[in-house]
Amino acid sequence: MKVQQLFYTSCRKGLSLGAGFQTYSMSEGISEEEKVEIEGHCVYIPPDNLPTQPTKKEVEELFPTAFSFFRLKTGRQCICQAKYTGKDYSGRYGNYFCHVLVFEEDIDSFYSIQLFGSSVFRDCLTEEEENSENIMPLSTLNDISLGDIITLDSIGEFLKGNCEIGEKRSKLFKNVVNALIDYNEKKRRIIFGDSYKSGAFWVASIQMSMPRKLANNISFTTYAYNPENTNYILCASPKKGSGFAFSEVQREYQYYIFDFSSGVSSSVDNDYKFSKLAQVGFTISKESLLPFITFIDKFNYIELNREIDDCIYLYNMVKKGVEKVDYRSTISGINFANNYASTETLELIFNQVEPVLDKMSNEVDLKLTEAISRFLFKIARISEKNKGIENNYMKKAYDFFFNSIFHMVIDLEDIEIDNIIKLHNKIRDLNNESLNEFIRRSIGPDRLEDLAVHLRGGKVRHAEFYLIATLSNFMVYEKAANINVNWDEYGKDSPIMKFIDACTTVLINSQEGLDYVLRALYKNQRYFAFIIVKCYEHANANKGLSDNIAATLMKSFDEKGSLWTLEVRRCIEKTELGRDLLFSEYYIGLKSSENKMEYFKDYCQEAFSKMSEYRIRCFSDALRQLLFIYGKKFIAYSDYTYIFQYLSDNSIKLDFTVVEKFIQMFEAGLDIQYPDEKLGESIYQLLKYKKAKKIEIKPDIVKLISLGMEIEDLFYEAREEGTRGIHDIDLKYAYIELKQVNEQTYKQVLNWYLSNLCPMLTSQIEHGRMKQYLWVEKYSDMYFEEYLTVIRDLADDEYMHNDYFRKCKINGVKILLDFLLYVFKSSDDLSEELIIKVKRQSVLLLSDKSEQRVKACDEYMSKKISGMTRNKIRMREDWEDIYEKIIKSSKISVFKKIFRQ
Amino acid sequence: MSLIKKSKYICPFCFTEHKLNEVEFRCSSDPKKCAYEKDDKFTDMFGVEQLKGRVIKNMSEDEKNVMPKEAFCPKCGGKTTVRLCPTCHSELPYTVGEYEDLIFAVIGAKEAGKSHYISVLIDKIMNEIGTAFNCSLQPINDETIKRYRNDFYYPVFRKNEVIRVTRSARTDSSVRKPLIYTLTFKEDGILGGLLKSKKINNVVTVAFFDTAGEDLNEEDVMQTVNKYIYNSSGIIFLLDPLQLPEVREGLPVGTPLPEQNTEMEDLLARTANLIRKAKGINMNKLIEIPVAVAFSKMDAVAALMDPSSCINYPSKHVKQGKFDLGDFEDVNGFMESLVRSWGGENFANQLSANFKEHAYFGITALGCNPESNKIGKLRPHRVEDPFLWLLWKRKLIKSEKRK
Repeated sequence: MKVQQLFYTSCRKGLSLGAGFQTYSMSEGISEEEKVEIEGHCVYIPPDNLPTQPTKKEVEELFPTAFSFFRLKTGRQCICQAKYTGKDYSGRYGNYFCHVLVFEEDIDSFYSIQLFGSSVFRDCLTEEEENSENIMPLSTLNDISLGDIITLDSIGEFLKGNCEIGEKRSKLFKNVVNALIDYNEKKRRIIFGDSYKSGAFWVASIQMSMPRKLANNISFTTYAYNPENTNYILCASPKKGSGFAFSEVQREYQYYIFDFSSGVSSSVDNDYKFSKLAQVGFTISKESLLPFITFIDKFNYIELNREIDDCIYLYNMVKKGVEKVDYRSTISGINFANNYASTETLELIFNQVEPVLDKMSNEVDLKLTEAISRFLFKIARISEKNKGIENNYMKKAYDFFFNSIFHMVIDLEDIEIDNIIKLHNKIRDLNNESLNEFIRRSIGPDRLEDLAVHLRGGKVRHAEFYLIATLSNFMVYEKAANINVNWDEYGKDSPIMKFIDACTTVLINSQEGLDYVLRALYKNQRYFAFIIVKCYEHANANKGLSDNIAATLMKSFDEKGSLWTLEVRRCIEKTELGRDLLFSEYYIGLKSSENKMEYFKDYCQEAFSKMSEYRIRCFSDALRQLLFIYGKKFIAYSDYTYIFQYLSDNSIKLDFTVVEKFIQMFEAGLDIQYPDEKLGESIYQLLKYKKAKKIEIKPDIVKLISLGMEIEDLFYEAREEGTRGIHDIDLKYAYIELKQVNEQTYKQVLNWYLSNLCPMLTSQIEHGRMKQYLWVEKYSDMYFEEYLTVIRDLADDEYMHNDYFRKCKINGVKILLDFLLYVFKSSDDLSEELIIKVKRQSVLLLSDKSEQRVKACDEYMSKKISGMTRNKIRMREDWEDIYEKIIKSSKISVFKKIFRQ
Repeated sequence: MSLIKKSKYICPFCFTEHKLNEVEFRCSSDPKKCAYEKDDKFTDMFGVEQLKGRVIKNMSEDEKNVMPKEAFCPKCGGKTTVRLCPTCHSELPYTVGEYEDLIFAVIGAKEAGKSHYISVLIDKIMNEIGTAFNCSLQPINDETIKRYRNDFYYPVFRKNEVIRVTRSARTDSSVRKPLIYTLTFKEDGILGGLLKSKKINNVVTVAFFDTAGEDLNEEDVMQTVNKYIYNSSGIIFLLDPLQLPEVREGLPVGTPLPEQNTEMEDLLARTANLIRKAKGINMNKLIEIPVAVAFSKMDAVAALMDPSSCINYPSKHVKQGKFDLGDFEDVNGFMESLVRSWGGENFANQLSANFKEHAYFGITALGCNPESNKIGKLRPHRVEDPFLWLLWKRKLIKSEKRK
């Protein structure tokens, strides 16, 4: 044992620059930082009730020795003996001398308090040292002798004695130990208010009630003038002459004060078994304490705390047998062993526990399982390390652990599965170093087969726990080995797959159980995907169940967000069945969504865009489903362009029937009018597409719109150039399509076409062509109604196309007259009613014209009728009938005009 | 109360400067209601672990730089007025932030008589100066009362004993703490001061630091435990004339002489260096802190002086109730020439090269040479002069010109 020394006192010359209090000298090996820290402990303030200028004898007899023990920041232990010396080199009082021992290694062969009174300590400098100009370093000690004041016997005697107030110290001792144990949590230091000489005995009685390595971690001083200015855990300070107030606040809230001179001490909340044992040990029978000290010494327990009582439980287990110790104490004792026991001790305890392990595994709960499993695995690991082979300990550990878990899952339904899983994982983490073995044992074929048999009972709880625990083991293993398990490598009939099948078969019948397991797998998308596909596989025969799995998947997607969802989708879609599950999930989502088109578009972005294989295989069906259950009869242009663009961007081939339906629904929504540029372009593209793909949709709305655009364009051109005639337009397709359209569409088409065609008509023959291509029998009335309206508008409001008519040197009346000629000529094919209506309309329109215009009309009609080859007479009669009525109507009208004026 | 508007304060324990609103509180509720806790900041600063009332951060949302007076504990709801320095968690004097803080450092070599000087000076202020200058000195807390009583007053005034050697602040953290007082000045009385006024005119917080001589032996140590020096409002630099070789040689044979200690120039240089480094003052600038260089134990060197010299007469300040400039100038001039003639030329040069304001004084705290650590007859002489000069420099007392 190497011990360095340091002297601190007020001296003429020391290690600092001038005179005064300072380190006089020290051994080599003490660093400057350590010196400064030690100096912080070198303080001695004499009690204020002693002579201020004492004689040497008074110094020797009256002044208490401050014997302190502490640990430096560097971890080295120090013992300091500080003694008052009276005058310093200058003759002034107040000097003291500190002799500090600094230990190179932790003290383990004696209690630090046993050096109290040792001859190794110096009380002052020699005269020679005091006057020396060359300060020599102090020697390093190799051996130190203990003092003879502190012995077990002297402590026993001390405790048996009475303190100042007459009470037996032994009675008070127990509470002091209780307080010291509580220090670890409460940080209230222990202060003894007793006579100067008692301080060392109080410290000694506490120290020596425990093993040395525990005791030598408790700092103390046998005297401090004011404990408030120190940090010692045990601190003696005489009440008389002390600078410490011993106030109520200090006593009850800041420190544990034991004022033996007044009997007023702090109350201590806890009463520990160890305190009682120590009390008995010192006062009644050493034999009850010493074996326990020997026992506890075998543990790596170095900081006193409430766990010391757990060591007593363990001690009793070992001494008296496990069955003699109650359940709570067993847990505490085993936990103590787990935390602090050495190999040798573990084996000793194992011998006690081993015979009752099987029985215990059927009576355990979470805490006991944890305590004993930790213990068994600890000893197994240590023993395996030492022997390098698999041993009985390991088998016992696994058997106990698995059996206990099984017992809790099967028999103790009050214990939540969550907590059993936590325990399982905790114990697995303990076996991190031998993870492979843990996994190997947990998925051993025999074990899995056994579990599969139990799962036939259909208890959801079993499936929940064992599936989560097993998969969790695989996950941990994957992480540790940095690999991904390929489930396909396990054959369908392998025990693990059979086990998983058994679990999932149970789970698909319990929504709650399924949700629980899937939630537990959220952290690993691959495993989540694997299990949900497995569930789907087992549910596939039953539509209700399989829809439920898909709905569960959808719920998980909603909960976890898009990134997680994509990862899971990718994992799921790798198998045929997986794609089927994904599609089911899509369909359920589509059905339940309020805005189906938006849902579809989102799905395109979130799923189809990111999974090409899935897109290739399923897009067409997805669109079909959309079109099938889409709430509206037509698709809006924006949705059409989106889907069309998506198809084009992703080169998607759709089923023919889907394409037809899609285009049909789009066309159904188109307005019959000249489209804007964008829509026009789309219509053009669609026409091309349909032609290329030979898609025929009846009625072909885009074709009708396209024709309408052509007509309008022609009329536009005619107006620009002053040309007439409709011979450039191929109207024959119109008839084919118009036969297919509904009444409303027919009316719209007719209105649009006629308003552009009629101004360009050059003869009664062209009026006939119009009927040939645009007239549909079932809408005959509507045709003539529309036709008459357009013709009437042209004749009535000639200013409408003023420029055009001027350019072509015609007018609206002339178009009306041509139409009349066409009607006269075709009177055999037209109804009487229609002819009368046309005549009446003509009379009304022409009556407002001037006499001169009416006369010109007559001339035009006469000329045209005379040029006819057939029915000239009837035609002339028809016209004359009209003409007369016009003349008549004109007179009346003149009269009316005069009357009004 | 004070007319001086403050915006910052310096903690008299750790000497950190803070804005007035930078303050924390300690819960003062019964610990039964609000349990004590460890205070790591306090432990770090003073090296001792104590369970104390919970520390409460200042939650006042008032952005004005005003020192809050109270806070409520968020745990127990109790109101507290115990203010803490946010840096070291020491309890701040209740006067902090309201009045001007004056920190007076008494420094000097080992055995220069620092503790005795403080002992006698405080007694003098409490009695004679208080009466003469219509002011009163009042300890601010129990710690000051107890420490002054035990360590300073009792030995000198009750037991007539020499004060024990001062422990190093490195080992005894209590030495690091100052004696803190409030010095309250009342208005001048009417009828030429015949009737004393009771109206308070000014209040200052005065902190006295006593230092173990050995803590001034090395600059490193000074930096650690004597931070107050560079934060002080005035320094009283005690010099023991018996340390000067010329004086030792000149005194009659048999005169008891103390051990020879640190050279006084070294201590002055160390002090100046410490202040310059801490405050960042270049060598081409002078330090603003006024330094009163006071030769202690003047009674011991009486044999070397002309008996009719001004230093031997009682100070006129107390008698007049004003700082008598004539008396001051006489003493200052006399002492400076004495220092120079006693081989202190270098010291005097160093002093003027470092400190903008300095003056020389001659005092004796005990008035006699103690024998066997016993004080024969206590006859303090001119101990108040350096202190009054510092007060005058701070414009806290009026002066009287030479007539």
